[in-house]
Amino acid sequence: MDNNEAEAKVAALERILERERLARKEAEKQLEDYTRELYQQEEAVNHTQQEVASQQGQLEFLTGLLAETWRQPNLQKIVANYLERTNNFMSNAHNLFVEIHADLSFHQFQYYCQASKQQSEILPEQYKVVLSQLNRNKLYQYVSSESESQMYELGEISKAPNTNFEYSVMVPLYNLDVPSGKAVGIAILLYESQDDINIVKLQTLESSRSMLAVAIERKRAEEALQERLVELETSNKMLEQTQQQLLQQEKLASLGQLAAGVAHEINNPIGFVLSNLDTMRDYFSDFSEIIAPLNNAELNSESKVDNMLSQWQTLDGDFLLSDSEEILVASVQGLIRVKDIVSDLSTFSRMDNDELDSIDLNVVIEKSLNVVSNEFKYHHQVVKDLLPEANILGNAGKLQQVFINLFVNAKHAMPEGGTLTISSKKDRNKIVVTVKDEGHGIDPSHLADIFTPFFTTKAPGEGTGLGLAISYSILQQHNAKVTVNSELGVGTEFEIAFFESL
Amino acid sequence: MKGAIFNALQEFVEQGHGYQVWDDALTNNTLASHGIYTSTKQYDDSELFAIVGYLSERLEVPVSDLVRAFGVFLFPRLMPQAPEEAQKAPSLRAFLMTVDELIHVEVKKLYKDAQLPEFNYDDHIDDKLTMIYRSPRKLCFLSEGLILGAADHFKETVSISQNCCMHQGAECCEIEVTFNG
Ligand code: HEM
Repeated sequence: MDNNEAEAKVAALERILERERLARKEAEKQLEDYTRELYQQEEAVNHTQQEVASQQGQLEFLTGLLAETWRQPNLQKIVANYLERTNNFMSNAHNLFVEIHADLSFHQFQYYCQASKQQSEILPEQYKVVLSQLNRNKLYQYVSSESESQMYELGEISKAPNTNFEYSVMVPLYNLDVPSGKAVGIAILLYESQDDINIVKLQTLESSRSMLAVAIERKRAEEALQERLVELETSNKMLEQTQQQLLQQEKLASLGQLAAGVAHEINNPIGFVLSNLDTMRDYFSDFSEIIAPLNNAELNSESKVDNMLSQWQTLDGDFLLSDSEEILVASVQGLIRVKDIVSDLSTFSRMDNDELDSIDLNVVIEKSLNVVSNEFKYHHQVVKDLLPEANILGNAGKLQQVFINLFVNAKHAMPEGGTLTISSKKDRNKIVVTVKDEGHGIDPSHLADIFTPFFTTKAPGEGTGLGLAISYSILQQHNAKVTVNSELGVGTEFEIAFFESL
Repeated sequence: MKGAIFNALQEFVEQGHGYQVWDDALTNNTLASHGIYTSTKQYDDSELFAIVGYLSERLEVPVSDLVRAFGVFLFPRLMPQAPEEAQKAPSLRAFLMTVDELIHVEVKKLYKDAQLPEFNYDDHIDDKLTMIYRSPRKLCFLSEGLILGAADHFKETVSISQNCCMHQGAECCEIEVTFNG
């Protein structure tokens, strides 16, 4: 190996070595960069982890508080829950709650103390001291004017120095109107030292306040609503009762009206039949006197006749005879009227609610039409436009009486002939039946009276004037509403609205 | 191209032809890296091609043969870095199927800047497997060498041919591997 060759080898080796060295440095630098990067990343990860943990803690506090707040039955429980939650969340603060009224009196103490994490009934001495030393005036002024939490050095808000606690945070929770004026709920956080204060957590606490305020507002509204609901229910019940009573009274009233009318109407004929009979008794003694000679044994036949004749003349026998006949005819008529009224009344008797069954109105209408079909046979037409199904709560027999009465009236209103139209339709929970004629109509001045007992425009002897009154009474007992539309010369329409049965 | 590939190439040249050849290859080329290669760093492809071009001339071996031989040398150095699932492949054929969708995918995860080829497979014939190679670096011969290296690893014998090649102006290289057992 010559020198040149050796030198070249050495030079090559040196270069290779130099490259190797540089490559190693490069690699080491890279390693250092990586290590630093790794460390920074780890730092960043740790930081994010802490951030996430604290945010999670805050979130948990907020969502937990939210969920539980809605579940509380009343304001007091909401506050208790708030204190418990806050106590767990703010691990370094002592949590008190107090309600202060406009007269600066304290109410509703509640507290959570950090040491035991347990609430007890007795207020520990150290809290009592704080509360008793608080400058209530200042506190009330602040919470009733500010809506944000406020941190105080305890000395600022107390009348005397306190050795246990250094700082306090006043958290206004609610502001209510109470009978004595105003009531403000305040959570008081007490800190033994400044180092215990965690600003981030305080901010979270602050952001929970608005939600709490909404919840409290809602709870109060709910309570008020509940009260209103109960009130409404009672007044509704009362209304129902009154309505029931009114209906009952109305029924009684229409019955009473009927009874009074009946008494009057029967009294009249009976009165004159009685006075007729009185007259007839006088006439009877006159007749007895006239025929008295018949039984006189001392007189012969001829003188008996003479005597009777002269008596006839003296007592005006002709008049007695004709008047007697008139009196008897009138009396019979009077008694027939009484008999009619009584027979009309006998079909009408008071009906109780439990006599109401679910019945098919169509069947009732058909049956009623059958009864009067003869009346409409020659000069009248009957048109029906009925619902396929019409079930109502009612008494079939009584309603049949009503419809027969209406149909007969319709026929009487149309002596020359015409069309009777019976139709039914549904109107929400009601079934409305219309009975319409093309008769002479009802005079507007009579319209108000048509349901009054014994009101009739028919000639004496043609009707008792009881038909519509009885019908009306029956319909009232069905709680059915009757409306009458009538136009003179055009016709009359009765509209009856029944409650549908389900 | 990764520094690790250059490091392997250096080893390959030094073992076969001595360190002076490697030093000459570096000193006779103007290289941006000055021939200093750190395994994890990325270097310009042109440096590899310049070195290989010099070596081909100096050693009077066609570039294709040189690169193929380097592939055979390189494979056992890459294999330990492959994912376990690929290493445990039951056969060469099964292993080759993992290159595109497993091995190189994992490489890409480890080195964001890695430049890897794309392989498609035609395996419809039992004893053949065509790996369709696409890469702007046109290193199909490296693939051939790696496949041969892999065959050694799995103790199988194969014959390799290319039906078409990017070096002949084709759009891709079709590397047909025939398994001879
Ligand atoms: C027979 C199996 C394999 C074949 C055919 C193959 C093919 C290739 C080819 C041709 C390249 C050059 C880049 C290009 O052409 O664009 C390459 C690069 C590479 N391959 Fe593979 N490979 C195989 C197995 C492996 C294995 C087992 C590993 C191990 C993890 C691996 C890791 C790499 C790496 C790190 C690069 C360099 C990437 C860069 O330079 O950025 N390969 N491979």
